[in-house]
Amino acid sequence: MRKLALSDEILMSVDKSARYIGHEVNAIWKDLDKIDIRFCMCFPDVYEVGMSHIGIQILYEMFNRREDTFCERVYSPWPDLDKLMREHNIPLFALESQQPIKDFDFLGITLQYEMCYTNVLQILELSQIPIFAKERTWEHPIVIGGGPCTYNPEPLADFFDIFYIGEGETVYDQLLDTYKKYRKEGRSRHDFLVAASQIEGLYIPELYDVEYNEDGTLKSFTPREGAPEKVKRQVVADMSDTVYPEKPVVPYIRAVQDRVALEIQRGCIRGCRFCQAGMIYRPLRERSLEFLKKYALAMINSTGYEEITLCSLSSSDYTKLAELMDFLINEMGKRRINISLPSLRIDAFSLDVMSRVQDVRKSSITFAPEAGTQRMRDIINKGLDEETILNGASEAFKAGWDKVKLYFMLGQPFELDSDVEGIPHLADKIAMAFYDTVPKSERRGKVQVTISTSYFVPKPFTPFQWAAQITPEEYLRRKTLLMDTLKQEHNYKSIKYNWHDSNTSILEGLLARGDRRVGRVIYEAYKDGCLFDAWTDYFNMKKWEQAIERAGIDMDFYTTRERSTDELLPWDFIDTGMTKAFMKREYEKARKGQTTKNCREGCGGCGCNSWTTGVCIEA
Amino acid sequence: MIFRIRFAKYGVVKFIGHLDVMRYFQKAVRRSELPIKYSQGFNPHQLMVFAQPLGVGVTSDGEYMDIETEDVDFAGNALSAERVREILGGALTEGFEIVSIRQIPWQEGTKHPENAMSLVAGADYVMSLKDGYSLGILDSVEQDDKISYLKQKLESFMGQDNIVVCKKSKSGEKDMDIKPYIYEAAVEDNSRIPSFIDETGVAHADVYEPGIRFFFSLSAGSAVNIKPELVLEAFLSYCGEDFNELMFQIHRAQMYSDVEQHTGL
Repeated sequence: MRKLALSDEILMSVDKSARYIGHEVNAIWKDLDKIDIRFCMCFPDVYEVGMSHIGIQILYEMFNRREDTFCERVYSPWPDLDKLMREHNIPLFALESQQPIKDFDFLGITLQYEMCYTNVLQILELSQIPIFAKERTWEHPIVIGGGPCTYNPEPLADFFDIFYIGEGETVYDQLLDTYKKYRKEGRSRHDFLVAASQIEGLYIPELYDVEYNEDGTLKSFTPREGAPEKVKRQVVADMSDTVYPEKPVVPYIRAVQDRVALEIQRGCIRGCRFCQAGMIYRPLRERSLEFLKKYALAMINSTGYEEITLCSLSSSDYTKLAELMDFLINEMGKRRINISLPSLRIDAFSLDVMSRVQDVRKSSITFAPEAGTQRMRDIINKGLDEETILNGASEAFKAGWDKVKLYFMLGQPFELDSDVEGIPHLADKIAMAFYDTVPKSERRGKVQVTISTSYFVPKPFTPFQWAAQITPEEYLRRKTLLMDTLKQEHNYKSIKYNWHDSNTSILEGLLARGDRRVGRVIYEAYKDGCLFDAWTDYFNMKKWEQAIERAGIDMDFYTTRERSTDELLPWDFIDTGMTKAFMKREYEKARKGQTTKNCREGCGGCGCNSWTTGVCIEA
Repeated sequence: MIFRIRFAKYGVVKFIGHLDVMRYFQKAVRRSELPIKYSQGFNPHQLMVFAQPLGVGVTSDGEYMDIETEDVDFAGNALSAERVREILGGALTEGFEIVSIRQIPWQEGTKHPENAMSLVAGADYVMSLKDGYSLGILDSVEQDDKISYLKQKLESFMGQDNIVVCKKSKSGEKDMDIKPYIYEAAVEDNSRIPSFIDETGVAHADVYEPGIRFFFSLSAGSAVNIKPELVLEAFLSYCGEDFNELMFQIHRAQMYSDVEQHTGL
């Protein structure tokens, strides 16, 4: 058993000390003398959140399959430990070896949401690695970022040596081999980064010069030293011939996702215009049934979890879902393993499956219409009509459910007050459907319909990337309009309304579509104590506002300004495979309320068929 | 069939709390394919009962749990204590270890025997002064005389008519005489253990530089549960020394059902 980095005194004085001890079931250990490359994989949020992330488990498996590499993990120390580590000058350490990360070769940080950006700086500072990339030498690890936020990495450009654009399974071997070679030959860190820039999918921010126009927009974005003008997103061609963990690490303490996660497919055919995930993971690629059966059993047997969940953006679109469910219900039933099914479209099939795997009386049915009127659902290309929703709800009520959750967004482009009012109208119709469907004698009280609204944040590489985010004041006005309308509804006593905070969303808007200058805001906010901004208890808007002011940043320029489709955008250097012409076309169709078919009904011509894989080549 | 498992918990997993230890064993059972029985209902749970929670930071060689299993394993072979040890032991990771297993005699269909939790009456503890700490009362005592000095002090402490401490509980604080609930008390260096402690009970107790180890046998379980730190705090305050929880590593050596016989559960 290895010595811990933290003393008993510290571990006994912090909350949930098991976050920091490593040694979990299936954690990997290697002989440090036989290792050439030490890689630390980081999820910049608390352990219970980070351990729930499937991507890290995949990369952990992939790196550790290499004999010359030992991949370890680290998560954000909670503020109680953060304070003690600073007081006692303890460098941040990796969980497996409990050794300081500053001595590693690589620190890989996954960027899953914008509100973790200050945590990235915390990781660097606690590791005693210079926060700014330009101050690092061969004495420090190469800091590499990945994940969905790298589709606009510019606000973080000053803090990272490399960004990996796309799916991690493809070019890491090339990067590690290049690293070994350059280290062995005694080449400079800069030379290594220049060489890395030649690997497809890797973006080295220091090799690009940025110029701005007088109005603040981007004037030019110019590569130096042979770096490519466009960085090409990495895509796994065959999802059934790639790495996946058979033995995921099992935390001692309860993680947010306390279950086996089976990624059944990557990508989505739906083409909702607001959805970044639906655009940047194209094309939809399914894993084979055989692959999934094998890994489902292997992971259940190696972890001892009592639940398995399917992961995908839209599980109902998996073509062999019925067969997969038959297999799982049979095999997991024998082992008393529960099955959880997120992201299913509500129809007869899914209701049947759900009623077989969960307690109907306790669970709720979830719809994500995202908009309250058909007009608005056409604008966002949601591909879900009112009849489908009401039929699905009625079917669910017949099967015994009496709780319905509805997710909407406020502030999507071209939204009118009548669209906002449509949200409670729809909720009311669903409540009405319950009273029409279920006879009084069979009801267990009122139906519970819950409306949740979030505040729409336009994201890069979506057709709405040019759109204005509405102001927080306007969001609050629409929220109030929704609430006032709700009070007029016939069944308003059966309907509950939750809304998302406006401050985090407007800030998310700034970070999502910011340029390099926005990095200063993150730095200032962090230095003033901002940390764990995704946690309501820790989020401090006042400090962020002050940081924005100190950095001299005009918030409206980044958030509420509609961009011209001709403008050079900070993320235009990334080639996702999707063409700008497609996104422009989709934006225009949205304006006109025209829909686009999903990938299976007909190709929308986004450009991703250039990979000739997945749904693009389905027979 | 019912099996009573004595297990050790030591090393870094001492920082895992009781609920997580329970979850750990549930997962270990599932990994091991031990034919454990489940409760009825929509959310069946494994029939597994732990004798007593162990505090975060405490190590042990004397933890107990009962499990109820089918009579045969998945291959159709009759289950035995030895077989359970093999199956479950193979699924445990470093820091958790099966010390011993015995089958509890029980005829299915008859009344359940009392479980480990309801049987606990007493527990033995070792409290070792950790590295980097010292006791002020020993400052002027020669190295070789330290243990005998503490022995004298402990004897006179135990010779009192009553030992009143302030006991904190959910309902508040109240004064309580804990003397009747301290069955044994001893202090030794690292080279010996008192006769009421068995070797197995200290197998995974960490050994520290200062070489000062207190041993207590205390009332435990649902009736009166005395924490060892409460006793040590009373002793040190009797000596005029401040007590700090971080100074000592607590280790549970054994739990037993019969105070007189002093045998394990």
